[in-house]
Amino acid sequence: MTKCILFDLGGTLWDDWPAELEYWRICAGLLTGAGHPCTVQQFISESTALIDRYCPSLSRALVWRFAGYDDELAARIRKEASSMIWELLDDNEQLAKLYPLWPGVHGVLNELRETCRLGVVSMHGSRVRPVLQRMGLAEYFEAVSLCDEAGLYKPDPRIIQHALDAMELEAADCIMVGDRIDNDIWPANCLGLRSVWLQAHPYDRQLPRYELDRPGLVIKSLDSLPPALRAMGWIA
Amino acid sequence: MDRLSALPSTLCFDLGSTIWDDRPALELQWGFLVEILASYGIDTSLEQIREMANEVIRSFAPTLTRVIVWQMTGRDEGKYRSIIREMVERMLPILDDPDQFRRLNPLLPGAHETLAELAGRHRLAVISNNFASADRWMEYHGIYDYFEHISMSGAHRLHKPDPRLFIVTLEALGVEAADAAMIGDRLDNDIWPANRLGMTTVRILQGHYAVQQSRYHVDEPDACIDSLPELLQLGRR
Repeated sequence: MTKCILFDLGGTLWDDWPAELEYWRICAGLLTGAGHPCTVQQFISESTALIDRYCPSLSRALVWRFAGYDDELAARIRKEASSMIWELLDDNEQLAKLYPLWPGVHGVLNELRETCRLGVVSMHGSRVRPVLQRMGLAEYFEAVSLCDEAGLYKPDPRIIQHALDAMELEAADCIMVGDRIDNDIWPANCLGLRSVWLQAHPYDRQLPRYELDRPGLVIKSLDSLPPALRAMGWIA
Repeated sequence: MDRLSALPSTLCFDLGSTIWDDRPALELQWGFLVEILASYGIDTSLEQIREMANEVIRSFAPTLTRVIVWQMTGRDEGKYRSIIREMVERMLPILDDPDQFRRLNPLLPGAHETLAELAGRHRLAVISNNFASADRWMEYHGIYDYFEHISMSGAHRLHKPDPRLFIVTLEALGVEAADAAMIGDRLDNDIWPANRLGMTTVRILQGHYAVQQSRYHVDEPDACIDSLPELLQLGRR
């Protein structure tokens, strides 16, 4: 049986794509202003090739590429664009528009917390914590492991181990739910957790490359998670 | 790209396509694979396997032949496991013969001399996705004694690009990541995890993986070399 379910955030509890597009739009503007003209359309078309190469971070890769592979410029642009996007997210209407929750999130988390403990393992920085509060999601989770805070970045399995340690759990008793084969399923499988892949745009085109990429369960929408877990006998 | 002024005190090496050329061994393995797949009713050719390999390399998949088998069997886990087992059973007795091993995995030019010289000035280690028993292959090439520590993925049940295999190595040597370098041919399995840990990274442009291009800044090595003896130049700079 399962003691804990760990969730990725962006792409798993909400649709990340609108925020991603807005972030790229801001980055393209800043890069163009810095003498590296580019468009959000170019970001979108390049992103597909990066997903196909299982690139750990799409936005970091895209900004770096369009900044002419200049590390410092890329870091500066990302920092500036991040503070602009977080400023937008301070507004509740923008938050709902840029991070639209997948249908049924509250129902799913409410139901699952009756059967086991819940946690988060996400690439987001600390600024996502108040956002989880405002979305009414924070209360579901006992522990939230964030890459920036831990200094460990997906797909490094140690970020999942960090969450297990924080909750004093064994890998075999836990499930990882995420939308990425490379960043969620692979590290969970490496550690011996069971894994659930929410196959959703844009990472739905990532297919398991070999056995360590293989999710224990595939779902197409988050609201199908509880019945799917029951059908596997993973929860009561 | 080269941001490296001197090599740190500890040097960790990958094996295949870094110290020895594993392409002849891969060709033999793929030849066996074609035969084994045929016995499972899966029709393919060496040419087709080579083409798939090129795609797999460009997709940054952690392993090469396993991914090919996974795809050729239509992701059938049962068939996949038996085919891998049959392939290993055919390969291992051949590789365990010293002469055959040296013929199928010849040392890259200058490897022996370079390691001998570096061993006098640095602490050397190996971090390789390999069988636990691959130590003996290093002995066949007479390079085993140059290394103070050897981390084979099979012995630790940790496989690159998992950074934990690198941590095991650094802990065994008692060195900090900042005082160690990783030298390897793969951006995904050698450079990425080492960069993530804060090690110095040197990419060697050898073998099938020389075509890999950085996806983002964490894939970027501190230095790039065409052959192992160039390490000696880096060390002196």
